[in-house]
Amino acid sequence: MDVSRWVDERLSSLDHPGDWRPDSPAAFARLRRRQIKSRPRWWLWAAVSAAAASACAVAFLMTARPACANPLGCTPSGKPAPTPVHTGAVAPFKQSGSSTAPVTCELFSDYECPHCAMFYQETFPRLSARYVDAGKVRLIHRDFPLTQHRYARLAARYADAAGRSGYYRAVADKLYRTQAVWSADGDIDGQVAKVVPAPAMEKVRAQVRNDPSLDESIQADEAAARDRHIERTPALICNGRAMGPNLNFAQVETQLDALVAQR
Amino acid sequence: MSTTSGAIDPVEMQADSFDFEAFFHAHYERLARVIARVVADHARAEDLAADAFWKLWRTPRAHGANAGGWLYRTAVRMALNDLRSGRRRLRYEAFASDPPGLPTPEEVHAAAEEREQVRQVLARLRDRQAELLILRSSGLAYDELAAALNLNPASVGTLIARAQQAFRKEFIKRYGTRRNGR
Repeated sequence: MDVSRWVDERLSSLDHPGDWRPDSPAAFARLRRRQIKSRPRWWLWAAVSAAAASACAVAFLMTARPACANPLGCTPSGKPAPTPVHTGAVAPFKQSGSSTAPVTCELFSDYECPHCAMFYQETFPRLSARYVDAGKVRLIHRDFPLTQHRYARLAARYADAAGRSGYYRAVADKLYRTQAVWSADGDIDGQVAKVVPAPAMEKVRAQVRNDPSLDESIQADEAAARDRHIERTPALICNGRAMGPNLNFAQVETQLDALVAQR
Repeated sequence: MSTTSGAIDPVEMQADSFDFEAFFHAHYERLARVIARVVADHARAEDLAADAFWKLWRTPRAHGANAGGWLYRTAVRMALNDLRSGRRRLRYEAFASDPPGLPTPEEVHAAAEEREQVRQVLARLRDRQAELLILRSSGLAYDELAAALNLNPASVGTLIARAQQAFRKEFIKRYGTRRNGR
């Protein structure tokens, strides 16, 4: 069997009729118009961005709450009001760290959210190494797929199904790293298949297709998000308090050290 | 500048002396034809080719000796993304015309079906393998493929062979060995 010839014969079916000729001059004229249009638009965007930034700054200064003694932020009563964390319904593969850790954090994220991808690639590895692996923090991953993200729920189903076969971290990592690819073409399966071996992948596909318990798990996480008044992703709730507002490692580190010291 | 319309060999030019217009006219037609083999729509192929040139224009660091390679690589990825997005189905085989020799309706249908199967298989392959097969079957030589995909010229043959094996395996897995209407 000459594989090369076999493949060439099939690829030759893509050959198109010889009478089509792409219109190079017309295409270049369109490109020129696009180039000309883009120049003032850069300035327009810059002006709009500057105006928006100014408006946000003014709004922030007018609405910012007065500082309080609590370095983690103020609750309406001025006292912390932690919400109990129910971990019974959370799959074991979505929990990491010691069950006796002084701090329990819930991480609400959306696989199609660019901020979540940035968090997972920049903050999460250091958070895991310094707090979770050290026994200071118990971390619970929760899915919070936002409705404006077309493939986020499906991505969560794939990750959770892969988790049942022992590939949760590998798949979550892959999905965040290739977010720009699958969020454009919807081919989550193709990305997941790159990190899950074929036999396990068949199980994953079967569950994604047929297993309603995956949706139930996501719905439970969404209910937890509503309980905690989560309005954006990523959101990190530790011992009932919202970390942030910016989830860069420096800020999270300061806030977690304070929580750990309280215990 | 010494571009030719039929090749993407590394052009002797530097970023500061890059003649974008000459480069455009040297490569546009061929690039649009390569994309059309993937997306099955002439108008869409011309749109994507123009978008690829637009990206090149907006990426000054690519205006160097391997601008041709950068352009073809980018264009084929865009075409594959378009194929995978499913938008192409709305214009399914819009440009397919009858092959010479007045084929029967059954032959036309079989040919269209095989084209769709080939595209589906390409969409399932790894990016690099699909890019290799598309560019190779579009007539690029080994050195052009190496330039386009940043490969070691000595390993192009091996990589093509692997891509062909992967294509055949995926094709047979999905559609068997029988050739439509042949």
